[in-house]
Amino acid sequence: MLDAYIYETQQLLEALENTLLAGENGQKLDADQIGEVFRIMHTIKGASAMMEFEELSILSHKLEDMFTLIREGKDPGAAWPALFDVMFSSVSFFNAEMAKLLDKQTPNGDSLPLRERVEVLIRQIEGEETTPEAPEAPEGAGAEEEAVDAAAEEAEMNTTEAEAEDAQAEPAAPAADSAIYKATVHFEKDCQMENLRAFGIVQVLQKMNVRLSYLPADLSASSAAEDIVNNGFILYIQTSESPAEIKAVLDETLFVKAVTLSPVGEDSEDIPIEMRTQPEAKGQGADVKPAAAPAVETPEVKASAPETPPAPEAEAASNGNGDAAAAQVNNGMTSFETVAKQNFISVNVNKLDSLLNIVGEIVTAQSMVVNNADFGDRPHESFDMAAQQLHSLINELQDIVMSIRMIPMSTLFQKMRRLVRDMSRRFGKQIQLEVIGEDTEVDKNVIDYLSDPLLHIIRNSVDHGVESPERRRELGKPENGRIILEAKMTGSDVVVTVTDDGAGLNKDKILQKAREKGLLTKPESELTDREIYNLIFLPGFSTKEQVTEYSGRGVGMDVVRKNIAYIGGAVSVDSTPGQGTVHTIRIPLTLTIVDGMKFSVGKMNFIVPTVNVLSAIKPSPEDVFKDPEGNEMMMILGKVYPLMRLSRFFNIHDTVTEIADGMIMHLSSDERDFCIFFDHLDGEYQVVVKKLPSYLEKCSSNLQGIGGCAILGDGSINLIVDVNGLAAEC
Amino acid sequence: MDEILEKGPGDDIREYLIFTVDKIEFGIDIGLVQEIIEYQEASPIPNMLDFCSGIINIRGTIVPVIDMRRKLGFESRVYDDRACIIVITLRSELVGMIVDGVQDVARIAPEQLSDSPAVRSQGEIKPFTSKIANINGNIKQIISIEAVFDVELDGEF
Repeated sequence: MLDAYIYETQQLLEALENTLLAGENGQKLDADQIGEVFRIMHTIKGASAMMEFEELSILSHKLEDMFTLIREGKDPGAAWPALFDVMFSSVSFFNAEMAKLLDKQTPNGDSLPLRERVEVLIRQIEGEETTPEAPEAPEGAGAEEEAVDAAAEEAEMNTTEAEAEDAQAEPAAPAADSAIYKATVHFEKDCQMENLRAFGIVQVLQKMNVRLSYLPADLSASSAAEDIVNNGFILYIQTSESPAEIKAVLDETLFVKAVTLSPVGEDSEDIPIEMRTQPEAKGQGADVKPAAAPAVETPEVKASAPETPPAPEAEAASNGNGDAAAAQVNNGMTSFETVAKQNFISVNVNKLDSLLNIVGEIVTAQSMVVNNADFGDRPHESFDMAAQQLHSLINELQDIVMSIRMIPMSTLFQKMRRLVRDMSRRFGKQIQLEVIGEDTEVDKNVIDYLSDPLLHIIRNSVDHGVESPERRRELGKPENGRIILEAKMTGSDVVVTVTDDGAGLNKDKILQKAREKGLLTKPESELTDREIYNLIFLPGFSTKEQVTEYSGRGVGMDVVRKNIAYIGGAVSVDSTPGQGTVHTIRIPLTLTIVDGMKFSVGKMNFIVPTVNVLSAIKPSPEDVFKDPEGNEMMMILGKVYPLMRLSRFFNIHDTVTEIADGMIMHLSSDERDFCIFFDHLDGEYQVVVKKLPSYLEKCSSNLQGIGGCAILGDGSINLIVDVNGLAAEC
Repeated sequence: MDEILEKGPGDDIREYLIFTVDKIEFGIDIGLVQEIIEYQEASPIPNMLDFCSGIINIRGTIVPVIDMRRKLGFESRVYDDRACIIVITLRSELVGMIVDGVQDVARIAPEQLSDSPAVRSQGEIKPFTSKIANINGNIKQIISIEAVFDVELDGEF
């Protein structure tokens, strides 16, 4: 239940943040956006109230109030920037509380300061206070009042909690003259999180002198909300309270559209079993627990309740289902919008891994069937046709599975937008973040490990890189600083660059610092500019004297490097004094999909990423010549490139040795272009890159030039060529 | 581990998978063994060291394979269909070892085990057999995983 709440709230917050960021550029929200924000606050309020997180629900309530005003046509006008600030702070507040919940802590943040800011805004928007300075005094008073309120609320919350515990520990045995009622509760359409709301009802009723049973019995089940939408939330309530009182409680619940409450006879077939066993249960007092305690905690109820309604009820239920189905069809059009928002589900990555493995196995099994020796030479046309169909279906399956693990960088980049926004305000800088290539898809792991390093680099760029507007004006630069965040695929890597147009790195300062800290391993005169800049990634290096909230704790850049190295990547920095700094993060495509050309050397099969291939050539001996040291060169279109015989480099026996009998591939790496010589070219494939088992390092004297491996459809293992690694060796 | 080992009269009895290399019987702690598969030819890897046979594909997982004949210093030969690959888990990765054949699983009590004489004679260098099991006159050599696979493990195998 709690998980569902956290998950949904986080999703809503993300949507909210996006809406706010989109609106902030224009310094206002349009009508649709206002509606959206209102709806989100409204839903969060409801859900938080149900879960009894008072601080969260009061704050969202206040925000909802504010947006009610705006929705009614009051224009905040000059108050927009302040409003955005409050909204962003609130999102952060909510997120922090969700993080606490995820950590199994109690959300204990104090929303009072935020609520005060909202109060001020509301008054401003209402026009009661024309000047923002004025509300000082009333605000103070209001704050105190609210503090008292909050304290009272807190106290109330504590007591209700205690009550709830009491109710759970000792469910009150209903008086002998109690009656059983069946209540069916329908919630308002599209109110969302119906199961949470139903749980709220259960909690309220449990505090009364009642025994309860309800359907769906497991409110935390994923299907519960849908069941409630379709069939309503059905409660069997045994109580000595008057039906009117029960009805009142149900009616008071938020978002309840309709309640039917009808008495049912003691021995009616309608009543679930656990209610009918009442005679014994009554005597045992505390043993009644299963019926009264929340179903989420009692497996017996879960298990028995769905089976309990005997024939008539089952019939009713199926009728109900029929109706519901019909209703669903009717709703089809109108509810489409809400359905579309839930297009995404979260899946454990391990499941995806095993799915991928199984698909690989299916492909192998398929080729075993199709090429089965039992067929002999008999013609089997219809079998071939069926096999062909199977083949194309399996190919499609493979493509889909491969694409599932990939997610676009956009979520990650979104975070950075927010960071740049917050930080530039904090430091009084004007910085525009430009994002390129946010659709670039990478493996999920990469996103996870990239997040922190990227945050850190951008913090550095904002804090240390881009100058203040005044300084920029003095330097003749545009006042608005720019940071460009770009992601792109280059061959076997994903490259993420962060470019700013700030002051650039100070070479002398870096050198001096490195000298002081004894980080230099080479004579200073031998260091290139690039090498000097990259000293900042060494542990214990920080050039900023003062520690700020966002950056400059001196642990930064070496952590960045460590994190990126963990996923096999590398980070480097380059800078032009006065013009800016470029950070480059390079991450290999571990577990990603690569289009590659397959070739063989002796018995070994290789795949080289197609993006690295400039051309494949059937060479003639006169194109290849040797320099005095015996290094071979290849002439292509009048240009000469180094030639590397893979058989020699990888130490492979029984290979083609005559140039004329083999093939040459012209490859491009980051550093330079070069050629490789191999035996055979075997065509193009799309493969999943797998990491080499780490034990392989013990089996080979040198694995340089191999980036991973891939299993082809026939089960054969192919080694993936790391073109940059090869280039370094030739 | 508790689930694998039946609780016998002596709780310290451990089970070992007995395999042969060049007609000599060796044992390996069965807790490490993941599965035993038929011999299959491995794909070579670049700059492969002598004792390694390459890599194989076990249901989508790439598994390095060691040729036990070459690793233990016996003459290498062409394997027939009695040869097997014993797949073990080594630091949460799979590694295969090609052996001439797998015999059975032996329950060996601590009193049937003695330190390999080589332990004393060779000093610093870790010998490939760590213990000798004497089962009614039948000698089985328990291999040292750390020495054979050149890894350091927590716990003793």
